[in-house]
Amino acid sequence: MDDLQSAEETAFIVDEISNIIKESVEGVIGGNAYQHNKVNQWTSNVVEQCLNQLTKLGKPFKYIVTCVIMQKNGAGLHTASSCFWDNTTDGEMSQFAHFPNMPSSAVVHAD
Amino acid sequence: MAQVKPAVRGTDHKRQSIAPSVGAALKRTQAPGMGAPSMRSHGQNLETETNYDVISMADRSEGIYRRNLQYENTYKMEPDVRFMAGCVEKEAEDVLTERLKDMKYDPATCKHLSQELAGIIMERVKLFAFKRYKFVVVVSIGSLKERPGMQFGSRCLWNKGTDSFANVKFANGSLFAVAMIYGLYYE
Repeated sequence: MDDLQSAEETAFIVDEISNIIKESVEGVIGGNAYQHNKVNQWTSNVVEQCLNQLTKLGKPFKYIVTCVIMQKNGAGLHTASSCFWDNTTDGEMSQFAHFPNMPSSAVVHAD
Repeated sequence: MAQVKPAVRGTDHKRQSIAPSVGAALKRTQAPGMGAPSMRSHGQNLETETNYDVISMADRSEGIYRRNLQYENTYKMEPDVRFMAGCVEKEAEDVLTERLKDMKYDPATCKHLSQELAGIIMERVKLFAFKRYKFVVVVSIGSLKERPGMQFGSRCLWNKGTDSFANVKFANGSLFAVAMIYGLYYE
């Protein structure tokens, strides 16, 4: 399958993905404060929008999109990821967004 | 030159276990006298007690194959063994409980701890030896002292027949940990 498509079409372009994530997160959450009853909906929406935009890119990738929305009250969070894949074809991108009352981060893995 | 006379016993695998165990069909480079039809290795052990002379052919063929290894398309759309989320979940839960049982949240140590745990869980998952699977392990450790509200969401674009994930949560008095393990089949 790789022979049929040029190198550009199969590359994992980090900037594109970064923009998609940023737009999705800002679009869904905007300037809202943390609301417990809405946060579930927000996570679903962010992830769904990201995935839709990624699909529109038309690249031959499987995607994993993870979003974490956290209330900003001084708690710490560390996230680490370990991947067993092909470094030449697969990649990962994560974006952290700081809203006034609510930090949120989204991670996209593509392979 | 030993002739491979497939003893018809109703089991296909006996005819096929010559090449070294790789999950792909090997291209035949030169194999004079190998009249047998193209074979796929399924990673099964070499049959040594047989009606036919497999050993001598294996020695010869192993040498030939090792020099020029090219992978052909296996035409396999599905894995033999699917990603077993249940086993992986149990394994990851054991790792998290064992390592984080008496830990207190500390920014400096937890930074390295999360990376270490991701590595350990990855090694354990690799031990399951799911063939042709790629894995992604994401581990998050956070503090509970400030009682933050938090939501983790994840969605994937994949082949739902072959790919799967496992989700593990752990919490003690001062910290919580979430591990997400995804298994993706590489066709």
